[in-house]
Amino acid sequence: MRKIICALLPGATAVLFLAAADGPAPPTVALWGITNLASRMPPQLTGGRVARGSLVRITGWRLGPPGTAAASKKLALRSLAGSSVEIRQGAHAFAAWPVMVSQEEIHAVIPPDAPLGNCDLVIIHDGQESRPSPLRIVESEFGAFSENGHGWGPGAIRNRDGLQNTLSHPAHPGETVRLLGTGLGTGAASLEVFAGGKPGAVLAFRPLAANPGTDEIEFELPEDVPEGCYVPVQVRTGGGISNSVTLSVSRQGEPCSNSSPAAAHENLPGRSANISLIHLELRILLGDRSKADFHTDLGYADFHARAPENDPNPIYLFPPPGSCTTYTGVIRTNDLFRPLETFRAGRSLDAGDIIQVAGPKGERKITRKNRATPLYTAVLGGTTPLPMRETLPLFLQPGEYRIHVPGSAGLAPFDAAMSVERALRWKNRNRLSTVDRAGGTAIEWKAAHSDDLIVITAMNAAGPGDAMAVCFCAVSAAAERFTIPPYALANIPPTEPGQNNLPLNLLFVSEIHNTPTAKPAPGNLDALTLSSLSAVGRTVTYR
Amino acid sequence: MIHPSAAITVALFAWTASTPARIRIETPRDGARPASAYIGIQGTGPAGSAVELLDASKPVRTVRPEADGHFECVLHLSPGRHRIKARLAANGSPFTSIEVTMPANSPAPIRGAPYELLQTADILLSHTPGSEQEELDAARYTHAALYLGPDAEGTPMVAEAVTMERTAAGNPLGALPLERTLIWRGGAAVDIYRLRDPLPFAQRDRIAEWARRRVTEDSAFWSVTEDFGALFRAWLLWDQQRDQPRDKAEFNRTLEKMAALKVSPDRLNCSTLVWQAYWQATKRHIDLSIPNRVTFGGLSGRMSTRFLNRLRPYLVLPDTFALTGKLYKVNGA
Repeated sequence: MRKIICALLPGATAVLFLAAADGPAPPTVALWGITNLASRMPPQLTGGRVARGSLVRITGWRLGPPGTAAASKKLALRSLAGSSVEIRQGAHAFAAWPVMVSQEEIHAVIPPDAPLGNCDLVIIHDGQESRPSPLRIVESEFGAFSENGHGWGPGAIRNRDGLQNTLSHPAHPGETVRLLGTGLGTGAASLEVFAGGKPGAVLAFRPLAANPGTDEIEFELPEDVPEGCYVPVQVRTGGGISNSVTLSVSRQGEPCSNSSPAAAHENLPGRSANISLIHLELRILLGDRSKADFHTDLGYADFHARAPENDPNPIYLFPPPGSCTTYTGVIRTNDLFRPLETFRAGRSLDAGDIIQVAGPKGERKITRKNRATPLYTAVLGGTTPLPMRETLPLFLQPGEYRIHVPGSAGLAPFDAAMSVERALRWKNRNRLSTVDRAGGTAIEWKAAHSDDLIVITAMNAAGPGDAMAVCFCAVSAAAERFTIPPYALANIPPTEPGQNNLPLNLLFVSEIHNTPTAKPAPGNLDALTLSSLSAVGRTVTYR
Repeated sequence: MIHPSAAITVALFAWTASTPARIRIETPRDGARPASAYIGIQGTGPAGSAVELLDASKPVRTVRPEADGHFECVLHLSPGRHRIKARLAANGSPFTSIEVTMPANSPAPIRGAPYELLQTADILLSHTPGSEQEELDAARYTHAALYLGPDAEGTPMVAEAVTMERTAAGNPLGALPLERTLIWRGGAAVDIYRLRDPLPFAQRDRIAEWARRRVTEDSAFWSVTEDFGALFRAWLLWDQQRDQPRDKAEFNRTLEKMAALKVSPDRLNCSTLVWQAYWQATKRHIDLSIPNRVTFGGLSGRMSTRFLNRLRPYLVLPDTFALTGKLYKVNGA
């Protein structure tokens, strides 16, 4: 206990001190700090606008008192704990209803009669006003609540029996489910819901009187909805497409099953390891005349222990084949340097310093930078877009590879064998320079194995504020062709004319081949996933 | 022809007329409550004289007013009330005093630094462990900020630009009390740099004023995709095998973008904020980015020298200041 107090004391002192220092400073709303509370989609993206009557999340500094104050339900207060939110358009001002206030965050309901179009939002706390923050109000822009509150992952969805939809309590095709969100506003007449990419019949939608700003959509899962643990659900209102949340679907009522062993293992509680050998072919077009091609072999390993309360890792929330899920957010410098660590949750397991990989072309090592680094990564061969110390010849080719994990006190050493298949061929890569967001885009490939999983990734980040959207589609390799549907592309920022910044306007097609593994030694690991991945990508123009 | 003695008399008259005969503490105000364990004091007195500052009756610092009569210093005081007096060291008079109340609880820095040495427009350079810049170029310093002098309460204020992830209690750009800066919160090593050719107070104040204005107006921090992205794009445009641009025109366009970014007062990072404050406020006379002697380690160290030299004119990094030769480290070698 003493240790805890010692650890907390400097922080508490700092907070008290800063609070005192903050006295005269007015509230400050963070740049791009006003989002739909449920979707949390950056306002620069199509689906990130704010609707009349919706719940919004306002982030910033000195917005409210220390601690958290919440309004009792059903009350539409003009002010809460000394903080109020005002929406101004010209000479007119409208009070929003704060439902939660703290120093760095306010949740408020936009009044249903708020003006449409460009407005300013002002926070008033203890008599001091923030500078006006621009806000665009539309009639309708739905955001779906997720269980983790971040706007992605399992949704706030109840099955017909009124219980929360979970991996062990899935819905079945044709079942009526209820989804919570905010932002139906006044334009819900054209409401559409997609589950696994299939339209579901909307039976009812209503505001929840007990929770101001919250809407409930009751819809029937289509009979042909794909089964899976993370079936994406999106809502289209008059304006744009909502964030993606997921629900689990199983035809027979048994717990859901995943389309990929990695997806099955990576988000379940327990001790697991994921070792991947990756061949990447990336073409970056720079201006009108030049291109850079990178052929890279990579090694990646992650050993971790997940607890039930850990957030899922969105990278492994694979949608069922034939459907797409999307993520939106803001790209930070950290994400560029450590992209795979951003969403990682759980405790890292020490697997030793060096993982050995031996294959037809010799041996390579997969290392971690230091013991504090959770992931093991290595360039095994080829060239990367990042500057390299030395260029090695390509290492991966079809054949068998042996892996040796040295282990540590907390993880016993083990050996494993996996196969690497021939590289995926993206048949229309050279022709596909433009992605039509409104019409969808067809991708054609030739995979090594027809029973592998193909994952198509479309992404872009652009404009001020570094808003980004990524869409993942999963398809059976045997299909050899897939059209990324417009609903999955809607929130990807379009390529701006003359856009010559960080080339994140990318499209990838990847084949994931899993080597079946024997059950790992009891007590050491609960699951071991061995994957070889062949990814082909290029920069594209998003129209 | 004017007699030399007359010229000396006129010069002496001009000098004495332009500097105050008595000592004044102009900042902070009497009764001030600084939001810092440090207090910045500015005042005026006879130029060149020794002005003694006392905490109650205990001498704590001797300062010398500059040619225009200004003096300044930063003191570290214990919590509670203090009576600060200023007097001529030679004869103990004239005499002026103020009362200040120092806060009870100030957050401790990661590592102490000689903040008592600060004077307006000094450059603070720090190394934050785990900074992206460590990975990028293995820099000695990963952050730069500018000391603005005290506010009316005597709080030492610092202008800095940080990423959204590292901001403490405001926007990425701000004029902050010392204890709220990333320098204080994240600096495992902090050094203070100052021009070798000293500037008069009025000019230093103009530099600070330029920075203060920019960080409180509508300037934004560099965008990851657009601004930092230009650096990476330049690298992608470089043919590593032939050690030359893949597309000369496109490469030059990217360099032009970087050149425009360096001088843009609307988009700033920690280093361009400090560099521009000196460059803009001195009407482009003081350019702390040349010579740019930064050395590159980390990821950048793997890039070709030829490529890095093409970028060098457009890059301003915290190490640029430390290595320019125009500055010296105030707190020792």
